[in-house]
Amino acid sequence: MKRILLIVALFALVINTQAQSKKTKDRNAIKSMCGCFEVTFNFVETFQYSKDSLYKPSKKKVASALEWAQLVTDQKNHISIQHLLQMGPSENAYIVKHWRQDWLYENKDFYMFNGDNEWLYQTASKKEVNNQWTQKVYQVDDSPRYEGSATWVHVDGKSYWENTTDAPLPRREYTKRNDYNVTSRGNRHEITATGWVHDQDNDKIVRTKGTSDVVLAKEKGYNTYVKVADSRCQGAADWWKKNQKKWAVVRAEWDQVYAQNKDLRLEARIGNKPLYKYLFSDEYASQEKIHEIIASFVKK
Amino acid sequence: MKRQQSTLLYVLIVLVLSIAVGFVKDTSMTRFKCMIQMQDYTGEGAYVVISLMNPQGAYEKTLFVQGDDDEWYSYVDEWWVFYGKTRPSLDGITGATLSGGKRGVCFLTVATEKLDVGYTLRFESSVEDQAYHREDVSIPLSSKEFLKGPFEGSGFIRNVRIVPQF
Repeated sequence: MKRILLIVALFALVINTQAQSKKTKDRNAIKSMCGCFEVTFNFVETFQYSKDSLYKPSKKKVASALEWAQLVTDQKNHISIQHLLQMGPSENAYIVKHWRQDWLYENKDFYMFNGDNEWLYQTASKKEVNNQWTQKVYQVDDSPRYEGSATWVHVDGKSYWENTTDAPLPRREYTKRNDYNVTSRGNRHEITATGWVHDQDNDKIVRTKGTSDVVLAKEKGYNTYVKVADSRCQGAADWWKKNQKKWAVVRAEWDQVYAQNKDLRLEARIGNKPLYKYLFSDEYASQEKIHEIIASFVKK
Repeated sequence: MKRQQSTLLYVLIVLVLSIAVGFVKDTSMTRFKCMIQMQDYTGEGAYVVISLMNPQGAYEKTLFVQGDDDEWYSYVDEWWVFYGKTRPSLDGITGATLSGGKRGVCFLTVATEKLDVGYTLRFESSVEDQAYHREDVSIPLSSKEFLKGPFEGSGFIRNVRIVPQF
């Protein structure tokens, strides 16, 4: 009997050690997206399915930037990375707070985008998210963008994470066209020898309540992040040191909104001004003002 | 000799007809001179969109856009819902944004058959970080109504004058 118990205990120990080792690999892969990167953004509309003779596809988009990915939170089950764009010469760089990605281990709470500035609160079972990581992506003002859960895969010398989820239109699209309202994003994050690749296969979807989704077109996205010396992003790193307290307050305010665990609808603009412009302004520095402005954008 | 005379006559007829046609006015379209006087406000220039609205109040055609950076067209909310679907070319019907106190002049071309049958001209205005006015000015597309101008605005536009170019 003792021998059986010993075998079971050893077996459990081996399984646990393997799981821990896998989780460590996952965490390392996620954190390898931090640092200074030369980024190229490449998007092209590939296939069109519209029956409208007046249909116009989006123009091809190719752009590049220098981006600093700052590790903000590094806990066992939660890693947060803030991306910052650095423009102009490094000694006099102009910094723009960009997107943020949070990674949560075995997360069960989701805000799923549903079109037209609406996110539906959904839960998953423990079984559904077993050993998975949720990637939660936020806008520049830390409001929600999209999220999804999947397993980090480490095979054949490759490390990648794949997920398909609904998202709002990116700026390059919503400022140019208004004939669809949901981007179904096929996201693939792969860690490479030179940095990482954000590979995307997206659908442009028309979502109307009470009817089935209509896929208008498909889009290929291929964003490459090539790691360069951290010193090149010194301007962005310094900017973060100077501004991180304010953005910790912003995140805490949003956390209170997300903790309500209910569907979320946001105003696009108040006073013809989007939320990010309020929060980017030095006028919005106190906890009180930040709370007030975020609360005013959340539809009651 | 006879052949030369008939060729000359033919050329003359063609010439006279061409000149005559040149003087005949295309009455299927009517042109309007439009003068927009802005309020004295401070801040960014206003995007002003002039649309032809049908008798049911729906958008029919974009007639002019003051503001030529399409990056900001989505700030003209209601028009964007209409225009943003297929984004027809605005070549020749765009101008610069209109700042506070400024006056803008543009020309609008409308099918003559739309006159006096219930169509309206809608002026929408939008200023970044301030406000959007879905119907700053609305003017019935009627020969008699034009005489009643200037038409007062309710947003960034002080008034609009419309002068038909008959």
